[in-house]
Parts: sequence; structure tokens; C-alpha cells
Amino acid sequence: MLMQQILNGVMLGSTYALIALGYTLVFGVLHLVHLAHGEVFMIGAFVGLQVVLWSGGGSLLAIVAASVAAAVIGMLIYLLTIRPILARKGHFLAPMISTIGIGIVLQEVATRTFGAEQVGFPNRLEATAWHIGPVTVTSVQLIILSVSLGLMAALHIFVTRSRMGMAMRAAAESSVISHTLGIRTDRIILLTFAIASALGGAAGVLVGLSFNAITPYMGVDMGIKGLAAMLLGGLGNIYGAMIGGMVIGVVEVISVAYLASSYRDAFAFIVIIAVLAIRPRGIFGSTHHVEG
Amino acid sequence: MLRVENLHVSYGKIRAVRDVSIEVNRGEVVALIGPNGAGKSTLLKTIAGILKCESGSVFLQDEPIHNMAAAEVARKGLVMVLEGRSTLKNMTVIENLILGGYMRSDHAEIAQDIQRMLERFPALKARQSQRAGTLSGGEQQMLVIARALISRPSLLMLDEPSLGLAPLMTAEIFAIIRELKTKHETTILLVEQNARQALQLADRGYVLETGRIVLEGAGLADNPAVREAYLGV
Ligand SMILES: Nc1ncnc2c1ncn2[C@@H]1O[C@H](COP(=O)(O)OP(=O)(O)OP(=O)(O)O)[C@@H](O)[C@H]1O
Ligand SMILES: [Mg+2]
Repeated sequence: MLMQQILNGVMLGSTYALIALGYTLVFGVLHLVHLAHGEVFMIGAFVGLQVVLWSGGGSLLAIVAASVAAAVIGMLIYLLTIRPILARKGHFLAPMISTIGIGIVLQEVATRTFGAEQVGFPNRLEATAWHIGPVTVTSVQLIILSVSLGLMAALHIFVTRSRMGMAMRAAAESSVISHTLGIRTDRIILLTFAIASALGGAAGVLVGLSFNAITPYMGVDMGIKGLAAMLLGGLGNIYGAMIGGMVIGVVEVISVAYLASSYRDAFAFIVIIAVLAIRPRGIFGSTHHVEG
Repeated sequence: MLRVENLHVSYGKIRAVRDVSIEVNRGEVVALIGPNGAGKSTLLKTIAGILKCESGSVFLQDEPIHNMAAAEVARKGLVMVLEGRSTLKNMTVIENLILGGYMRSDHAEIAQDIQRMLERFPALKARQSQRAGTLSGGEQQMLVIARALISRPSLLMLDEPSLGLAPLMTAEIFAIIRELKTKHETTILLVEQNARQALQLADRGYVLETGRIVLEGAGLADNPAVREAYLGV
């Protein structure tokens, strides 16, 4: 029973982690909380749904399409609504307010296009289930777990093994030092938005698959979970975002199983507040990003 | 190679660099000395494109670079080592060195250059996979110099490389610069508090005081005003 709950929690948490990674990557390079990221995730889910419906394609095709679409939207958000405001060097909150604005725009566009109602998210997977000891794993769960863990592993390899990924970490640490190394941080930031948003788009499809339903407002709740997971793990730290997401997922699922299910979110956030009270910078947080 | 003409730089109302003109020729080591707050770092950062000038011009091999972004200036071969320990502290020693080769695309040769640097600086070799932030000040200074050299600059600007280092480490830093000059004929613009050693090593020098060049030329170490103000004799 407990093993099963932990597995379910890790599954849910891995989608939170994907969303949290988006926040943390953007925060890393721009010190900006990208509040439209939840909506990028939501658009990803809808793009995935359309691809499944129109092409009759499988879930993996939907994930790829959603990631690409989300990446494009994420880059446009940066180019059109964040960069121009940063360039004017206004109040430091101005770009964040701008992301709230574009998030609302995306939500309303989705409502007009797809309707405000919850829509079903079909999957053409065979409903196979495997029993491993006390644990049952369905094919949907397997896809969600392997895609999200695979994406996290890929991100880890990218930032530690490729020059581009190292440049991204360099840009997050110091743009001036990066410039002296010839790193064009403006391009790196754009790339960061693309990667962050692609992860969010993929998460959109995974959440659609696991809940079988999506709505234009799903970005709000999931966005807050993702933000919380980033804070829990430590601002700007990608491993923190991964762990933070998993912790929230597991706590949430276990609280539903053993406590009252109507308190699932409340309980998850009580744990977050408790952890932050003990470690204000999050599990992996350093003073570096907080103090800039 | 580098020509700076009538450069003015301000921070708001504070005028940090006033009407500065300097020149660095290919293969030369040129020292820039002056008291704290004279504007030495400001001048170097402006040449590197990190700060924008108010007026004046900077030419690198006769090409104007004063309106270029800092990353583009670096890509032209004019590489600056910032004041302080400007390592990427959250990244490992080897990652810092790899990013030194970020502007190059000859991967096999970059790997060779990195190996050569690790041989040249055994302290770095022993700490390859350690986070740069955990190195001592002197080791970090070695690392930033090694990293800059891996980018194969046509002109290297060093801002107080020996700042805050113990005499032995300072001597080591100067030995490296001397080696760059004699063995590799690297063109260097060197800012130093350590005026005696800097002038000894350099082909020529400039003295910057409150934003203006007040003295220049070869043999500044023999100039009575310089001897009194900077060499303490
Ligand atoms: N970011 C800044 N904002 C405002 N004023 C500044 C800034 N940076 C430097 N200054 C001022 O500009 C002047 C020149 O500073 P700069 O750092 O170029 O001096 P320096 O010659 O490098 O000094 P040091 O030897 O102490 O490094 C100083 O008066 C300094 O106070
Ligand atoms: Mg200085």
C-alpha cells in the first residue's frame, strides 16, 4: 500500500518537477519569476490533445508536438513581453507583472478556442497493468514516469556535458563573466525559455494523460505547485526543482491516502512552509541566487 | 593593435574616465598604474564593451568596437580578465576551462590546450572536478588566467591579477605574465597596484590619476614622480 502510494506520488511529483524546472531555469538566467509558465504548460496540454484527436497519433507524438509548440510560445513570450521591458530597466517587478498579463491572455485565448469546460484527454494506450510485488504499474504511469525521468536525465546531461548547457549555467551565475568568455547571453536566455517551455509543454500532456481531463485553468493550480516545488528545492537549482517536485507529489498522494483527501493541497503546502521555515533557501538553495 | 581615443566614461554624474587616449601595439606588454579609484577598471571594462562610453572611440585592429556588445568584443579576440576572482564559482575547474574555449570550434585543439594548462598549473590539475568556488584565491586567479588563455586572445587585458595574493603567489602570477610575453608574444594590457613589478615587466606604461592619463612612456620606473608616488623611493 505504502509502496504503491509512493510510486503514485513520484509519478505525480515528476510532472510537478518538469514544471518546476521551467521556473527554475528561467529564474536562473533572468532572476525572474515567469508567471505565465503555468499557462504555457496548459497550452502544451491542449496542443497535445489536438494532435491526438486530429492525427490519431499516439501519446509520444502528442508530447513532441506539445513541447515544440510550448517552446515557440515560450520564446515569443520572452521576445515580445519580457525582453522589451527588461531593456527599459524599469522597476524590477515590471517584467513579472508582464508575465502575469500574458498568462491571462493565454488563458482567455484557450477559453475562447477550446471552451471553458473540462475536456477529456483520450489515450490510445492499451490499458495494460503490471504487478511487481505489492505495486501495480499501468502503461500510462509507465509513460509518465519514463518520459519525465528521461527528460530530467536529458537536461542533466545537457547542462553538465554540453558546452551550450555549461554556457547556460555560466549565464545564470554571471552575465558579465559570461560575456568575457564570448557567451552571447541573449541567445542563451532565449534557448533557456525554449527548453523551460518545452518541459512545461511535455508536462501538460503527461498531466492530461494521468487525469484524463484538461481545462484552460489547469495552469493556475499546476503553476503554483511548480513554483512551490522550485522554492522547496532552492531557487534556480535544477536538482532542487526535481527533488522539490517529487516531495510535493509524494506528500500530496500520501496525505490523500491516509488523511482527508479534501486537504490534499493544504497538507502539501503545510509541509512546504515547514521546510522553508527550517531552510529558508530551500533544500538545495544557496545564498548566491537570492542575493544576486 | 588597440587604439583608444579621447574616451569619456561616467557613472551618472561621476566622471570616472576623462579624455583618455592610449595605444597598445602587437606583442607589447603595456602597464596601466594609478591609485585606487583612478578609473583603471572602468577604462578596461569600457574597452571590453562591458561599460558604454559617453564619447570617444576604441579601435581593435582599426575596427571600431566601442558600440559592440561585450560578448562580441571578446569574440574579436579582445579578452578581459575581470578584477577579483572572476571564476564561475558554481562550476568545476574543468568546466571553467572548457568555457574558455567557448568561442573556438577546433575541439581537438581545445582539448589539447586544456591539457597543456593543467600541466602548466598542477594545482588546477589536482582539483579538476572541484567547484571553482572552493579554490584558494591564488588558485582561482590561476584558473581565470588559464581560462582566458584557452580562448587564445589576440589581446589580453588583466585587471589586478595579483590583488590580495601573498608574495609567493604574486611572484607566480608575474612569472606567468613574463612567460606569456617572452614565450608566446601575447599582447597584454596590464592593470596593477604592484607598480614596481608591473613596470619592470612592461615595455611601456601609463599612469592614470582621477580619470586622466598624467604620464606615459617607456622607463616610467625611472621617472622621479612615479618613483615617489608609486614605488615608494
Ligand atoms: N558602479 C559604479 N557606480 C558608480 N561609481 C562607480 C562605479 N564603479 C566605479 N565607480 C567610481 O568610478 C571611479 C573609478 O573606479 P574604478 O573602479 O575604475 O577605479 P580603479 O582605478 O579600478 O580603482 P581600484 O584600484 O581600487 O580598483 C571611482 O571613483 C569609483 O568610485
Ligand atoms: Mg579596479
